Amino acid sequence: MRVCCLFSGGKDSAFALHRMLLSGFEVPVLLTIRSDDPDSWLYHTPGMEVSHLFEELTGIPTEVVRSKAPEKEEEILLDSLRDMKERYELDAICSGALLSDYQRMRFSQAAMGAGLVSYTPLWRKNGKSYMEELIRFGFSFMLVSYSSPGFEPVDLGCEVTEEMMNRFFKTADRWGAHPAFEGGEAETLVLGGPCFPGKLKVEGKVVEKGQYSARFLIDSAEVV
Amino acid sequence: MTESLFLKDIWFTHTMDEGRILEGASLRIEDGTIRGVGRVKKERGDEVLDCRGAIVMPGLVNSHTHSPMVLLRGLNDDAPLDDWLKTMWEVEEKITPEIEELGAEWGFIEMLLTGTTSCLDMYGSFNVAGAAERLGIRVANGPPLISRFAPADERLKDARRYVETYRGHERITPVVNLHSIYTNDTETIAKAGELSRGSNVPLHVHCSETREEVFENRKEWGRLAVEELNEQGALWEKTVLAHLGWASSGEFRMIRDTGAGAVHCPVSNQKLGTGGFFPFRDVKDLGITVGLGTDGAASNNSLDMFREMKAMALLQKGQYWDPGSASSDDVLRCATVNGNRLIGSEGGMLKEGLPADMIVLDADSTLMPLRKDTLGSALVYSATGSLVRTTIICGEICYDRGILRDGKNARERVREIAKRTLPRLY
Repeated sequence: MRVCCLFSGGKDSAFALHRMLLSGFEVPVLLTIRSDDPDSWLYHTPGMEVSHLFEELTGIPTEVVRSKAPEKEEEILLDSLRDMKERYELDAICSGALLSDYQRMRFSQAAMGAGLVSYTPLWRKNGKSYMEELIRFGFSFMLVSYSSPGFEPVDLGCEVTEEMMNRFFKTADRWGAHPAFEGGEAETLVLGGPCFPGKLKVEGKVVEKGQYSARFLIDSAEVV
Repeated sequence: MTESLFLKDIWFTHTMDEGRILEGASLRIEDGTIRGVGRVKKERGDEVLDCRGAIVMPGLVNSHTHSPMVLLRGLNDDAPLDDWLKTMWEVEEKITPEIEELGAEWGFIEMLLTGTTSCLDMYGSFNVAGAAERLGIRVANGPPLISRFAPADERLKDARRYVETYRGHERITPVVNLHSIYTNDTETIAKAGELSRGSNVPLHVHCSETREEVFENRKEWGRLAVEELNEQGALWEKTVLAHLGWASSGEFRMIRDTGAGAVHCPVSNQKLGTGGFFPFRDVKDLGITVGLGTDGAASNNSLDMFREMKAMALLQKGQYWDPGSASSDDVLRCATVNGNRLIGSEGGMLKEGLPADMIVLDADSTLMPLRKDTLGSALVYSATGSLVRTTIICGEICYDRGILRDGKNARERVREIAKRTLPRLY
C-alpha cells in the first residue's frame, strides 16, 4: 500500500507518518501545502519557512505546493493529489488530524475525489497518551508559538522535554486546555524522529506578544 | 401462555439497575411484568424455573438489524463495498414476500437463541411482523422507504397503515424506516419526518455510514447528512441514527440538541471496511443515548449480541488508545437499557414493575472465576450467545434449551427454512 503523507512539519503529521511506517505502509512521497494564509484552518502554517528542508530531514521525497488563495485551499489539495496519484502510484493519503473535523473531512473528501483512501491514525486518540508516546518514541520537537497559560517565553525555540509537558498537563487539567494543543494552545516544529535520517537545527529569536502568547522567529535552519 | 413464572435460586442476577448485582436471588414475573427480584417468594400457580448455576440478566436489544439478511450470509464476503452491495441487490431481487418472512423467522430464531429479546429491524413489513408474532420476539419495524427504488407515496401509505395497525401492540413497535438520505429525495425525507412526529413513533435511518455517502450529500446539498435530516424536519427526539462512523463533531452536537439517539455497529463497519469511527466516549459524554446493533447478517455475519458487545469494547479501546473508553458497564448499558430507550420502552433492567424481558445463561467454566465484581466483565468479554439457556419475553418463555414457544426444535426449524428458501435464491 503506497501512501502519501500530508506533512506540515508539525508534531502531528510527523507522528502520523511514523505510525504509517511502523505499520508497514510504503511512503514514497510527502506533500506539504504551504499556505499564504496565516489563519488557514486547513493547513498548519508556522515553521513553513523551513519546508525546503523537510525532504532532507525525513529522507522521503517531498513536494511543496504553495496555496496562494484561501478560497482555493481544497482545490489545490485535490489537484495535487490527482497529479501525484499517477506519478507515485498512490493508494492512500495520511494526515495527522487529531480532533479537527474541518481538516479530517476536507482531507478525506479531496482523497476521495482523487480515488484515494484517507488514513487518520491519530484521530480522537487520547491527547495526553499521545504526547507521552511522542516523547517516549524519541521525537524531538520545539514550540514555535504558544497562546496559552502554562508556557514561558524561554520554552520557545528549544526541544520540548517531558518536564515541560508535565508542567503543561497540569495547566491543561486546570484550565481545560487540550494536552496535545488541539485548541491552538501551541504550534510545533518537529526537529527529529526515530524514522528520520536528519535532525533539524534551528536558530532564531523569541518575540513576546502578550502575557500568554509568544512566537519564535526562525533566522536560520539546517539539517545536520 | 404462562401467566406467572418464578426464577428460583439464581446464582447471579445482573439487574442493570444502577449496577446492582445480586447473588442467590429469585425473581417473580406475573402478567408480563417483573413483580419482585431478590428475596421474593414463590406464589401458588407459579411455573418454576430452576436457575441454579445460572446468570439472569435483561434481554439484549439489537438496535439496528435487517433480520431476513441471514439468507445472504457469506455472500461475496470480503469484496469491496460497491461490489458487495451489487451482489446483495442481485439476490435480493429474488426475495419474494414469502421468502422474506421465512428469512425474518430464521433471523429471529437466531436472536432468541443468543439472548436478544428485542430488535430494531429494517426489512419487509407486515410479513416480518407476522414472523415475529409467531415467535414472540419484540420487534420495532416498518416498511423501508426508498424513493429511489419504489414510488414514495405508495410506501408512505404502507408506512402509515403499518403505524396504525401496530400502534399499542404488546410486542410490535411501529417505526418509520427511512432507509437513508442518499436513497430518498428531500420530499420523502420530509414526509417521513412528518409521519414520525405526527404519529409519535421512532424514525430509524442509516446515516453517515460511508465516506462516499457523506461527501455526495455535501456535494448535492452543501450539507452533511445529519444537517440534511435536520433541515427536512426528520431529526427529532425519536430519530434513531444507525452507524454515524463518518459524522462530524458538529453533527453529534446537533443530535444531542434534538434529543435523537445513535446506534453503533462495530462489526459491520469493520467487516465492510467503511473506514470511519464511531466516537463512543465523546458521544456518551454529550449525553446521547447510544444503542448497539449487529446490522444484517450479511455484513456481520452473526446476530449474536454478546459478540457485538465484545467487538464494541475492543474497537473503542483500540481507537482511543484508552481501555476506559468503553467499559463493560458502558457496553452492557448500550445493549440493554439504551436499546429499549431508543424504541420507547422502559425495559432493560430487572426491576419491579418493568417488562419481564430477560435471559438465563449457563455460567459455565468459560466465565470463571465468577464473582459479583467480575460478572459484567464476564458477560462482555467472555460470554457468547451459545450460553443462553432460556429467553423470556413479556414474561413468556419464548425459547428454552433448543425449543421454541410452539414446541418446535429451533435448529430443525432453521434447517427447514433454509431448505425452503435457499434453492430459490442461489
